[in-house]
Amino acid sequence: MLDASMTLRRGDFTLEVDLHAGRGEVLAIVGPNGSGKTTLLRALAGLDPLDTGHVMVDGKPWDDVERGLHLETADRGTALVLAEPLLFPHMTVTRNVGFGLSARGASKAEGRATALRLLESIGMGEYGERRPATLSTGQQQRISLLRALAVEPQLLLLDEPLSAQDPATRAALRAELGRLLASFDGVAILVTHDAIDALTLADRVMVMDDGRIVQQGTPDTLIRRPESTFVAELVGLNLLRGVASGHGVSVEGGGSLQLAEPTDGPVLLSFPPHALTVSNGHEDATESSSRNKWRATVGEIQPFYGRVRLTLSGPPNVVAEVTAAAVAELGLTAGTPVMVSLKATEIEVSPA
Amino acid sequence: MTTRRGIRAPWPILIPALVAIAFLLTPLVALLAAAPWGQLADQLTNPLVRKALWLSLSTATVATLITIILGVPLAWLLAQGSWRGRRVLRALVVLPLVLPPVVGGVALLLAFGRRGLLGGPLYDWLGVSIPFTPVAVVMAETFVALPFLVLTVEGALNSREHRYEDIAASLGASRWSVARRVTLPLVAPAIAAGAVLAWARAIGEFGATITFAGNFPGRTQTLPLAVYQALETDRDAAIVMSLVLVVASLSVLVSMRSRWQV
Repeated sequence: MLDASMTLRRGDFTLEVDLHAGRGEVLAIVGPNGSGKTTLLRALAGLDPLDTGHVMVDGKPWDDVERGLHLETADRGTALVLAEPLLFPHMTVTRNVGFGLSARGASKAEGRATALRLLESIGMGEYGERRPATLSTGQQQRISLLRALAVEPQLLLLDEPLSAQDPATRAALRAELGRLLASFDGVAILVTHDAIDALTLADRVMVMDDGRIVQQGTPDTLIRRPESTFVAELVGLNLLRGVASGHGVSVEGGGSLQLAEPTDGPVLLSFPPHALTVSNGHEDATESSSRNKWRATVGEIQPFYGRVRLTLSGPPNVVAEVTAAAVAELGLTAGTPVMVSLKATEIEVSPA
Repeated sequence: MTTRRGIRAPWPILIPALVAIAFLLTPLVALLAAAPWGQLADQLTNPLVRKALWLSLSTATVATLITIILGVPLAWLLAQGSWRGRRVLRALVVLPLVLPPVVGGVALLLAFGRRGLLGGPLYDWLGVSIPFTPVAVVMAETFVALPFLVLTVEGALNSREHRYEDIAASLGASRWSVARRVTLPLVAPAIAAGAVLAWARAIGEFGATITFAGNFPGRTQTLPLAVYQALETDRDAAIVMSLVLVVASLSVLVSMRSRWQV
């Protein structure tokens, strides 16, 4: 549905990207600041002109430099959501949500009805007549998501939509965004520098560095088989879902883990592969100081820049990174039983 | 507001500062002291005062409306990125702000007078003569007031959040629609402030008006002109009209207090 290939030059910086995505797909673009993520989004929105290449959506050209074709932003089927909610301050919440519909020719009543229906669908129906300034930033960002979804865009462009929120709001908003994206049938492009956002929300992740895509794949592939230390550090996180009760978490798919701080309810646990220690499967479980120890079986063994990535089936299932020496010493091959340990303090917990 | 702390100012500055305060306040006090409070109502219904007051209010208001209609688009043009000649045009727009108003009046006469650059053909072909009419008063006031509005609105346009417009466009709003539904409402407070400033400048206009529109009671004699003339013939009327202008200025000050922190 989306087929784009483009280059843009800005002084010394060159953006050179090919993008393809199907209907209903959520594509995350992850990269450090200055890697060109926002430039890419602005180009797709038609706010910045391409130097070469094309953007096609549903077989319709939005940009084609060779044919001299450039569709104005307003004539594309896009909708933009930025880090700050940027709700129109002089309009009520309902008029904000209905803005795109009336801009596209819907009647006042029609826009209002759709806006109210959407507001009610996320339980914010009673806020319709409020001004944006009277809402919290979290609420404002939810409204700004609705404002974008109301026009049923072919291309939903999300530029760091969670980054301006405080951690607690961010988790709730991430869950909300996940729900909204699940029922969205256009292409969603999610620009973020947060690995958890990308890994939890996207079907496919593209890692960008200095204007280029350095690797793309499903979240699972990027964790198991990063092609560079850059990718590994940026998105190479173990991510487990579970339900916490006090210090204990029962992990989705089996197994349980202990946390350093007690919490309750659904949680998202993340920890880097090198936080895991792998030892001989016959070892006594009481020997180390780690709160978390479990038996696992070695699956894939992947050399990775002088170290080795191991896929371990528990439960819980994780990816660990160990030295090549350790692999030799423990005689690890596919199918070897091992003992995995993880310090509770290495686990980052966020509400899900 | 936070209280500014730091090294205290040296006490000798108090002396010139007090002199300045006295200098600014004494004339106002003198005006209030000399006011014929007893016959205030009589003076306000005095035909001379009434006509001048009505002419001033109506011409200043019309001039302000014209200033908005012409000035907002001009401010927009000036705030539109950087293009060749923008700085020169901006300097020319600001010129009436620093130009002695009487020079403005002379220039208006040379442009729109019966033998003026545009006024000549206008008179020869259509028989229309602008100088020494209420229209000339409005033009003189617009000429001096326009820069106030243009500068205020241009400042607001330059410092606006462009991403509101990006979002509006991405949602399908055309340029017109973005301008009407997003940009203008965002700078509306600045347009209001600029209009108040323009109105204040217009109501106090003297030099350009007397030069271009003359001083005909009931036709082109605005309050400031009437004050000047009455000072020699009817002192009480002059003082009352001055008080009216003080009240007008104070109401401008009050309406602008959030901008000027007074």
